[in-house]
Amino acid sequence: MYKDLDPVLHSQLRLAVVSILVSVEKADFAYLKKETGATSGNLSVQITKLKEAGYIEVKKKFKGNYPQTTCNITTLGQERFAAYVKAIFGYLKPK
Amino acid sequence: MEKTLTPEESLQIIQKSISNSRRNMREGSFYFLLWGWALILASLANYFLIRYLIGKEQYEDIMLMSLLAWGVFIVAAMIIQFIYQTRSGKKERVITHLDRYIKIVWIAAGLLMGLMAFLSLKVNAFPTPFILGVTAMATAVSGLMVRFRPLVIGAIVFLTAAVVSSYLSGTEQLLAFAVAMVLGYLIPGYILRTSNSGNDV
Repeated sequence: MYKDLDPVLHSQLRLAVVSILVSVEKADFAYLKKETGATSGNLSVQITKLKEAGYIEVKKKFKGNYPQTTCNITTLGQERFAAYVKAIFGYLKPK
Repeated sequence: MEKTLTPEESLQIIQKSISNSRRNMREGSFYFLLWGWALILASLANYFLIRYLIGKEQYEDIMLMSLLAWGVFIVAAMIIQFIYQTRSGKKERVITHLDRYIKIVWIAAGLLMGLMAFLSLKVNAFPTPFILGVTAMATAVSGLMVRFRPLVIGAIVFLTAAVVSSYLSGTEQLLAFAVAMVLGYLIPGYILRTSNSGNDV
């Protein structure tokens, strides 16, 4: 079922993360956690998967004394997201 | 194992995530209030210093003391801004496209203000009207981008003040500058801060 949907994006949390990142310049881990309501562990795993697929970029640095992980979407991620949305609408069209 | 999403569920996730990623307008009020107050205090300090020095007939000190008055308040505001930004590192942060554009506009405006001050002093003119003109441009761009009318009105005030102050003496220009800052920065800044909705745009 729904075989032509991008498996990287066709997952609740990964899709939420990419949807957030597509609409902003960049967001940090704490923001993504708050907006998605996911646990740190799960979010961390999904972010790694998106990063490995090349859909997002992850930068780790220290802001003051606090570690900050910032994520932003890549051009590939934007293209795949657009393709995913198009595919979704293909399924939603009345037959 | 994650459950399989239906296209409807996917669409819901996308809609919910995109609509949540809005800019926190209230955060921007900090910068207008900080710089509004710093520049008002600097221009008033400069005004009273000049009057004091003229009273004492120490004309040769005016230039140096004026630069000092502005320098002190500008550096103080920069330090406060730096501390504010470092502290806010604790909180979750998101930078929208709009945040980035506005930041670029103000960095460019800041550099241009410095250049205007340098060039005007070089040709023996008072820098105030030129700086007010640059401020009007940056305020207008910010106000129009976030669709916040008090800032757009503030920009019109700055533009008017730029023209009016060019007809005033150097010391009177400082008072016009302070009044323009109250109307152009402080009033929009306080309106932003007291607005109940944190996510306006």
